[in-house]
Amino acid sequence: MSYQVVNREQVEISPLNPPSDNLYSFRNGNPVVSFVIPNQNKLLKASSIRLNGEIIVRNGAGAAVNNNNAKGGGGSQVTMNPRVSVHGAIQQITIMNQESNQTLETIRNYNRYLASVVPVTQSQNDFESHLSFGLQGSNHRVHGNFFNNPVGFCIPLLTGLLNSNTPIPLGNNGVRGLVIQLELTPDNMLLHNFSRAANTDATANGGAFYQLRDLTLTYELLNVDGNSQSQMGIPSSGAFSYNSVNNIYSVINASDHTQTYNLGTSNTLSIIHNFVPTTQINNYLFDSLRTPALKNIVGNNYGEDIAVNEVIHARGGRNFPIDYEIDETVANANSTPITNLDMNFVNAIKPIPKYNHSLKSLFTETNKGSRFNYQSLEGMPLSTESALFQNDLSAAGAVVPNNKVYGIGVSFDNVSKVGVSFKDTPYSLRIKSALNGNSPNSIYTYTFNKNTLLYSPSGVMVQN
Amino acid sequence: MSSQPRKLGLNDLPAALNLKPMAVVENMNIETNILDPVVVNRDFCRFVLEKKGVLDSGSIFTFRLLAENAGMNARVHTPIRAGIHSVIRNATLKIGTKIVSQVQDYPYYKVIKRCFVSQEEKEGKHHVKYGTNDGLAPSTQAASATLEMKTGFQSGNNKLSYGALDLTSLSSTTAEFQIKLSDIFPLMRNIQLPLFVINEPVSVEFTFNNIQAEGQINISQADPGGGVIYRPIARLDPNSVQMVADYLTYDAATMNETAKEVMSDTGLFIPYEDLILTTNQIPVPVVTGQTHTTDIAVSGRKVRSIVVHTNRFSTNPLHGVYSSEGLRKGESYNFRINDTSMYPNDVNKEHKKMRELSKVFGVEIQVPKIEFDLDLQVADNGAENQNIITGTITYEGKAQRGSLEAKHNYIGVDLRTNNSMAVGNGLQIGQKPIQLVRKFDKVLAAEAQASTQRIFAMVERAMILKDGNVSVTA
Repeated sequence: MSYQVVNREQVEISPLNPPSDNLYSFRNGNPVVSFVIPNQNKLLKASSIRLNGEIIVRNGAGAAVNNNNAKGGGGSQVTMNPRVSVHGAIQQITIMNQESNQTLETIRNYNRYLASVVPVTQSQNDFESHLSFGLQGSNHRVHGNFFNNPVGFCIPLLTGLLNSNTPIPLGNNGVRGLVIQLELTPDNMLLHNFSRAANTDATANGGAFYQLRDLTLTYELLNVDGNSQSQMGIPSSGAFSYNSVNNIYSVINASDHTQTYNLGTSNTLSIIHNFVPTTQINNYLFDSLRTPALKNIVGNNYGEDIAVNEVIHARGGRNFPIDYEIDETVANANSTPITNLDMNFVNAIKPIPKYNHSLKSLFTETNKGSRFNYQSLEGMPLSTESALFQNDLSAAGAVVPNNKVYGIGVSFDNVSKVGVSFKDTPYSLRIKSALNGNSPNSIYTYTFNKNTLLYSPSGVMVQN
Repeated sequence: MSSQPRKLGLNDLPAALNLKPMAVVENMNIETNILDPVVVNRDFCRFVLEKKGVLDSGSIFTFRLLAENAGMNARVHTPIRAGIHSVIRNATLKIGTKIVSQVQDYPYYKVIKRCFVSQEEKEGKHHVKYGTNDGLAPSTQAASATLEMKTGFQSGNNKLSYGALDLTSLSSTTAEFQIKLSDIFPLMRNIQLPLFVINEPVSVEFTFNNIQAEGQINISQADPGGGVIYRPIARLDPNSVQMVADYLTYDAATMNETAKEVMSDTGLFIPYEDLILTTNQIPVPVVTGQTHTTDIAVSGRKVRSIVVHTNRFSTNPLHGVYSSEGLRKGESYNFRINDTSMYPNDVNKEHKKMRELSKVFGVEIQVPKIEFDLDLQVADNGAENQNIITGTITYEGKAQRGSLEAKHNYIGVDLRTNNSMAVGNGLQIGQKPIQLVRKFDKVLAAEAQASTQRIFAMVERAMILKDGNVSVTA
């Protein structure tokens, strides 16, 4: 149904559940933030939604951190992943309709999702300009200074529903109001030691923590003409489709591993997987939001990246949508780019013809220094960088950098955008690698699919 | 029969006047003329265009600046973000004696608009075309706990990148810059003028900045060598001012389509954008709080957007007079439009301010946060307790920290009634002017200085071209 838009309206709402001290934090027991966009005869321009607020990072004793000793006088050094930054404070987003709490979209492990999506779709210049207002940084060391003071942020919520271009009807003839619920990330998932050399800063006194304050949600409403308004207010039957993101968590440990997923979605557009050593999740000693390749434990540490030689995507036991195995054995042996694997991963996030901004490059994938990478072209010894930036160490104590925007993915339908049904047919991923069977690596899997919202006088229903 | 012109949008204009690809590929003749001004001196110039074809909005003006009093190492260049735009103070487009479009304090608007140009474009294109030098980004100096800002042309510390763009005293060696017609007049961003059907002469007038004070068009570095201090200045070379005008002629059917519209009973209705400037002074804010309200003179008009430039300190070492400084804490603002507050809550955070400004231009801002505000450096009590930019690093010989931090802080509000950037969706303002209400709640003593506020309102106007005669709405 098309509506005649008359003008726009700026709206700012506060959370439904403000703590008494106005400080949301995981540690102090206020990890959920709920916003309600009420049922009204207007259209929501969902892409205009921004979460505004201020973040404060404190050490276990409650004192403000002082990364790089920038404020003088010493103090704790605790920071967060620069690519995801304050977005990483959101672990889960749930969007429901207000009337019956029908879930329209839930993204679990939202921060790990952004750990892949943001660097694939944003360039170094993006990080250095507009993304710096989301407190994402272009230089890992100086990025630590961003959190030495309480600092404001303004970030979009990058869910499928909220980034579909179609305005969302909020009235009875639509979603009937929205509830947006944000679950905060555990402190040890978001924060980590600024420096390996001083690795007690984040863990001391019960662990560093973060607080969010003055949270508001701003968005634009589109006011429609009188005739359209009355139509929006009368319950009737209709439907609109929107994109949705879903998450599944699993673990890989074997060198020839097939993981089967029951996605349960009938219009699946693409799927991506990213990885991180399992013991490095929720661990103050490591950046839980980085996206390294698969790793083996050598000695006591996760060490060098290991080669992923073959990948097969399958639907119902048959190779799909690529009917051959993606074989990177030769590329791995010669240390050349794993182009086939990488391009399918990128294509699953953003179609290659539209792929125009990205941080992912040979600099990141071969762990070379660039203006963004943890290594620098400008003279810092690699060993010093390692001490500062959470790189892994091999069994021999050699430095293993971790700059990659690594992932595996595939697009099922880049042409018609209708998607492929996995409603009754499982999807499986087979990875042949050099994993030694003693090194659990976590797989975060995200599917992009189309959902349809059906509304009628009796209520709202989601079809996926 | 009605003689009222039809109310049409830009999409309804004849194909020859519309700046978008034509549906059908046609032959087009481009005649390029290099025009000398009919009047030119260091304060003013006027170009008169010939009555032929359609004026291409990509026509350009050329300018050279000459250095005076430059010594061996005494250098002079243009302000880093305003570049050659700084030479034009006011620009006017006239048809006969009617003012169709007038842009006042042009470089102040331009520095705001250029915050939305990508770093790549600033570095690779604007640097040589406009003499700007502001493709700045945080460097890779990971070894340092603070950062330096540099452009892609630089590496290491304290580099200079103007080099060949330094101004010299000779016309033959000083750099020549150019500005497009559509850069100057918002009118020319959407349409092309059908000169061949306009009876009266079309002219373009510029009033130049011919002020020798540092920072207007000069950014100089004095040479203290030899006991004599050379403080160079820059002045416009009047002989360099030319217009490279492209006159387009399409096939007869396309040209006739335009002529037919002009000669019709209703005439040709051309909607366009124009800028209205409101300038005033904000007195020294008292430390404990002050509210300052400005009436913006746009009553009865359709307004698309408003941007505000606030210059608190007379001259910045790198930006000249074109810097717009952010305060540490404690400023909030709102607009009252048609007796209603624009925002339910006053905008009191820098990140929200940035977001509202970005909506005006429809793209994400392209300057780093540290050039926009001081949030990172400032504690809750307003004390600046850490640095982000390294103190010892210079840029073009000037300290980066004081010259760059929070010097691109602007207020903006987008008033379009829908998301289209096309002309025709401005907000109708009633008899009461828009009011900008700024509250200075906790201004620190060090920042309590008077400032000059320049408010640019982008409004919608219309030109009616009938029987070759032009009339314009207010």
